[in-house]
Amino acid sequence: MATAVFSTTVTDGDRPAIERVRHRLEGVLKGKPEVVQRVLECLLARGHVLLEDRPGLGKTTLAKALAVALGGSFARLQCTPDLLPSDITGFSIFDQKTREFAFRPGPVFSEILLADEINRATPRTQSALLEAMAERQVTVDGQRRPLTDGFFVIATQNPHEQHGTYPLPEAQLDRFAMKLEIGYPHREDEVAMLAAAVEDQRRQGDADHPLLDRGQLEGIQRRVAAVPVSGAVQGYLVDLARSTRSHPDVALGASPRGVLTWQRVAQARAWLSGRAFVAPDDIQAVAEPVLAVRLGLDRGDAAALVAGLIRQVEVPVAP
Amino acid sequence: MPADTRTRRPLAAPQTGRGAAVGMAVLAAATFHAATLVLDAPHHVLAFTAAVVAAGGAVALAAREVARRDWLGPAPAPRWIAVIVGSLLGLTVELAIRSAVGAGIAPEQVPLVVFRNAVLLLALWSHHADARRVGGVLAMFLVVFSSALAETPWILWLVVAFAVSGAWWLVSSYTGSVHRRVVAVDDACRSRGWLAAVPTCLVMALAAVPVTGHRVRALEGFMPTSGGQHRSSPRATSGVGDGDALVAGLDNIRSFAPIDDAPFMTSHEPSLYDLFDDTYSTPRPVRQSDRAISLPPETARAPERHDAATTQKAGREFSLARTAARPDRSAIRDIASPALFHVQGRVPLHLRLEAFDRFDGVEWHAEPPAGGDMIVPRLSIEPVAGRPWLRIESVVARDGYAAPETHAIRVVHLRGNRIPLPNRVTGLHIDRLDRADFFRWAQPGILRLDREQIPELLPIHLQTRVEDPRLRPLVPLFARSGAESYRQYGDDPESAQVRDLVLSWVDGLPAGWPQIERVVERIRTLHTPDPDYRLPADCRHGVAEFLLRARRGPDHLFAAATVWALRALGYPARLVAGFYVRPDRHDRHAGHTPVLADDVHVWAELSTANDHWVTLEPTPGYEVLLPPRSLVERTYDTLLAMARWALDHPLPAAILGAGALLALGWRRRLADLADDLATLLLPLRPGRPTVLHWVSRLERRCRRAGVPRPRHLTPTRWLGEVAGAPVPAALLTLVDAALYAPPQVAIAPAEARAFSTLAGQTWSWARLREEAGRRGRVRHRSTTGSC
Repeated sequence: MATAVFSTTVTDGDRPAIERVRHRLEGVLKGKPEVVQRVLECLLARGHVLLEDRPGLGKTTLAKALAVALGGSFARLQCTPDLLPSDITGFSIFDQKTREFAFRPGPVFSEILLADEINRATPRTQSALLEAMAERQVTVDGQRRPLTDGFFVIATQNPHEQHGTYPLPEAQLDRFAMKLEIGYPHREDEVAMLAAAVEDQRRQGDADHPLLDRGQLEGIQRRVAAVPVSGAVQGYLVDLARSTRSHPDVALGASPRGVLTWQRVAQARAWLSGRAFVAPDDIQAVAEPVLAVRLGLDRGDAAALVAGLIRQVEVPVAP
Repeated sequence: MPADTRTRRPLAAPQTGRGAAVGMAVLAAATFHAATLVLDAPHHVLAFTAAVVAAGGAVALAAREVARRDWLGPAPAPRWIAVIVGSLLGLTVELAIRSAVGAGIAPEQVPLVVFRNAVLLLALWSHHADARRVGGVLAMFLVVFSSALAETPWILWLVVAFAVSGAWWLVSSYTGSVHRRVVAVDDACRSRGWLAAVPTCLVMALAAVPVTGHRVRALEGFMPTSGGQHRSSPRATSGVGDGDALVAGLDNIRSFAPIDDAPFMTSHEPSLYDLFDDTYSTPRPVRQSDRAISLPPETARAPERHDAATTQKAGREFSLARTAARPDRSAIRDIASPALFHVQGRVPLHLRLEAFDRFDGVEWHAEPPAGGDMIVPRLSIEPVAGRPWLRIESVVARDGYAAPETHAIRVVHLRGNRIPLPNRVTGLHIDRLDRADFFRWAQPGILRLDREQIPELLPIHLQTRVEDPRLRPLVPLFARSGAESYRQYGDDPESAQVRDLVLSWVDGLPAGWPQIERVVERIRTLHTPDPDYRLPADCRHGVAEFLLRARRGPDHLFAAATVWALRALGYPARLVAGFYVRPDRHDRHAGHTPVLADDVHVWAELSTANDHWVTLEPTPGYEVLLPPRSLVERTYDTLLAMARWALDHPLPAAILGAGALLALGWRRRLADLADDLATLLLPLRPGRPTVLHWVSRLERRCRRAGVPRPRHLTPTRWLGEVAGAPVPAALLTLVDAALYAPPQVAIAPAEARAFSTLAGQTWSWARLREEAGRRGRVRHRSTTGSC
């Protein structure tokens, strides 16, 4: 069998570091390697993740572990109806000593932001996140304040609570790269989780050291964005996106911004798979979480709909 | 705007002229075919235009597909080999056809076929500049020579369309060249030589025509022609003077086939009776004392009425007794075209010129002219599509005849005023002749012009109907009045013997068509055609001599015997003389059939109800024109012939059948083996093309093995699923890389070689068939619900 190292594989020096991050996250979130894979794809594609699941399934744990692994700051934002935009972006306060207004940055200035139960915040407050997520900057008191390059949002929302929630508008949803569900772990994974919790108490502090520095992550993100995509694959991606716009069950199809995000996520998947180019399989593999957040569908509905769309569009079989 | 900004402004995308190149190729091929086909009717032109549009679309799609797949790759060598081989294929096929069936196209068309193939093949690779350039030059050659050979004026429209495409191509090439020079690449100058060659060749070719004043001479020495070059080819469609029977040329007007715009000329030509003498030798002088048949008074008086007719020969008898000497026809070889006239339309055809009704044992006497008690159709002129048509009779459905069809006749050498007409002519058209009184019935079913001579080279268009043997039960017999002369029969002993013989033939058969067909069949099968046989000098009854003793003779004895035998049974019949338009003289390309002096012929006709005649052909080697056969009938005939062959040759048929069944059952495996062979023989370029070839091949193998790839799955994923065992990721990654990686991601030749070796083993035919079987079993279980 072939043993040759094919030239089409990626030989990136930072891949071991990313694999270590993956390993740590999988250790934290037992039995959910596909969720970890998706989160990493989002991270490398410079996208944001919306987790839609029940409480206590490890959303915060995942976000915290990611923040620690990346060596960045972490902030958690518990969204409530009385949360104000300034609680997110920060505000200026008058300093009696200096007789000047001093800016106190909000949680968006951290590198990993966990916006818990984002749909409980009012639309006004949700909108405050728009600029931060899309342009990685906020404007406070008329002054533009850039966020960190690695700014990464993990938002959660509870699908079962209807009272006192404000569904995210389409424009806000379009800023997320993916919508994911974590789901309950299997029994064996849950047992392993319990055992790991005891083990972690014994070796407290071992998992606190970062695995990537800020420059490394930015470099990987730049290289991911440069992973080549052939014209045929791009044509296939556009055909798939256009098919969502004419589907009778979809009120609002994928936007061009969504197509761009889709390509970035596919590039990240290709890079994580060790390939130096994007294949239609990458497009298909990330289609469901990417489209689920944009088409406003439940996960079950999204899976069936996306599978149907994929079956309709013929994959290219030529360069 | 500053100057430097303007210079950096990006130019529009260069126009490569691919569309124009494809258009030029299609138009050039269309010009060639328009020059070689006979398109003399609007619906012909419409069908041709539709065919050109369809072919153009097909070529454009094929070119697009070739460009998309980059078939044979960017290297020029495989492309040019394919073009050369494909072009010469036409030559090979032509040589094979000539050697196998003796047919083929005109010699001057053979090199043009090669040009056409080359032009169309180059159009497929029109995304390459070199193919466009050479294709343009060849297309120009093809158009120039095709239009020089063409006779139809509307071909100019094709030439104009080609010129427009050519201009578009030149402009596109120029803009592309400018773009390359200004923006990046500086290789555009290479096209100058080719572009200069195009107008140079065009000007030289066009200049040759006015200088010589003769299209054929302009091409002399470059293109082989027949006639005029002192060389002759049976497949020739052009040439002058010394070509075969039907050659079109400018020096001799007789060489034209029926067309309306040819000039007239006058000459002294042979009449039908001259041709009888030439063909059957001159009649022996009849000794009046030899005539022993006692004719009834009305029969005896009949010849007197004949003398009142306007005839080309005094007496107008057809004698069965002929001298033994054959005429010397050497003089005929000296004339430019030996054809007496040309016929356009389906053949064989029996063209009447003279009918005979009364027989005295040796001589047949011509029928009186129409009129009196003879019922002949009334003639009238009826305009059809702005042209005057002589309406002879209206078309009645299911009267025993097929749907009308058209024929055209142009008399070249035949003297006389009778129009050679087939049986059952329903309409006749002579250009600008719009008076019915210009036509007269010479005899029932035989028209003449009311003048001494048919103008030479006059085109005569006919609407005719062919008797359909399948409809014979619908045709009433013998209800005709005033046809006593067609039942005239002798009371001499010889006639009695003939009657006894004929009665023995039809013994037990019901009256009507079964008896008639039996008589014709017996005469046709029991007697031998012998054109040189002559009746003995002391013969008193030619028919009795032929049927009872000689059992051989020329066609007029067959025909006379048929008429006499039918009359013996009481069926009205007559003897008809004229011409037999032989199918073996038919020029398939021109659509014409020349009729020569040798084609004079005598046959029998049976009178049916409504004054219709049915042609009966008793002479072996001659056939009666049948209605066109439908596709279903032809398919049935073919199947029947195959079945007969199989019954006659059981062993080869069994071997062939078994082979065909095996091939049918193993067709997919055989196709896969052919793919294997092609892979072995085809030189594959290393690297990505090798992997792509294998991916394409594995796709075909999966399809043939019963595990076709769903259209929404990538080959990588599908190959991984159907392998039946874990496949190394590197192998699948290479498939992905070949298909989807950008050009800068190279595949090393060593990797491609390794892939070739492993792919054949990993996705072998046996493994894929096994997978197909497994999937089939799973499907079966899921549908039946069994464990």
